[in-house]
Amino acid sequence: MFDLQHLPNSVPGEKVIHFLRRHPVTLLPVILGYVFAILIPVVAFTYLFLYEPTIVQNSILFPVIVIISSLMFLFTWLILFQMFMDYYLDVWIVTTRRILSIEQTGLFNRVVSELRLYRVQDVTSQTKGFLHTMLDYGFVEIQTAGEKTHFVFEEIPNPLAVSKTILELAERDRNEHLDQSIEMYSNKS
Amino acid sequence: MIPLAYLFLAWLIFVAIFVLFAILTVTVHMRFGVSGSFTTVTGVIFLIVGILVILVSGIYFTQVDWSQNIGLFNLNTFGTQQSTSQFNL
Repeated sequence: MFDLQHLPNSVPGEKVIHFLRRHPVTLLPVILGYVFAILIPVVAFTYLFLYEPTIVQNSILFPVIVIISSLMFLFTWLILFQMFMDYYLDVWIVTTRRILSIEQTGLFNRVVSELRLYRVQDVTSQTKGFLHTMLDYGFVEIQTAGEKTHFVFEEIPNPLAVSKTILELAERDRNEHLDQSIEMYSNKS
Repeated sequence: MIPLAYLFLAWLIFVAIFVLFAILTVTVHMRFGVSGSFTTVTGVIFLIVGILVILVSGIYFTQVDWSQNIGLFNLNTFGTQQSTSQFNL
């Protein structure tokens, strides 16, 4: 497990400002999946026991039903947990010095990217559609100076507030970085 | 006619695949999740439910007579006791 107090490649003196995941509403399909995965077998077996006792007593048909339904439940359970993991393990961390993007795709693909705040040039927040507007979540796109690559925080809550904070932190970090660079340059000369 | 035992064998194979993927999934979840009780609790709940379903099915399967055959094309064979010499030698 990774600890927020001990981030990878931590910079001295940095503090975590935002710890972001996608908005919980994006988990709705998974939650509905769990509800159906639990409800369907319960309802189906209750119905069989109450209204179709001949099927339950059938020494061939009922074992076949149990075999198929248990396998269907187990694999639905597994797929739903992996969908939950996809939500849970995708995180974006904004500290006073940098931005960390950790994205898990499937079981074996994990991308950890880091961006120093003084390199941030443009920050765009985007909310599109009815749900995004009503529940105040959306995308934040961060463009860096001189690079084609950019960071995208996907479907995070309060994108406007987050983008504003990043811009302020970037400005502060840029000034500190500039001071350090001037100091280093004057020491060299 | 398909022996019912073949279905049980298929169930065992699929359960083994499930167990393998469940262990891999929980390992990734525990390794890369943020440290805290929520990560542990969700991983443990996932495992407990999986184990419970396998156990309950397994306990039921101990009471099943696996020496029966399933008639694929004649659905009326469902429900008839068809022990065959193939499994009762």
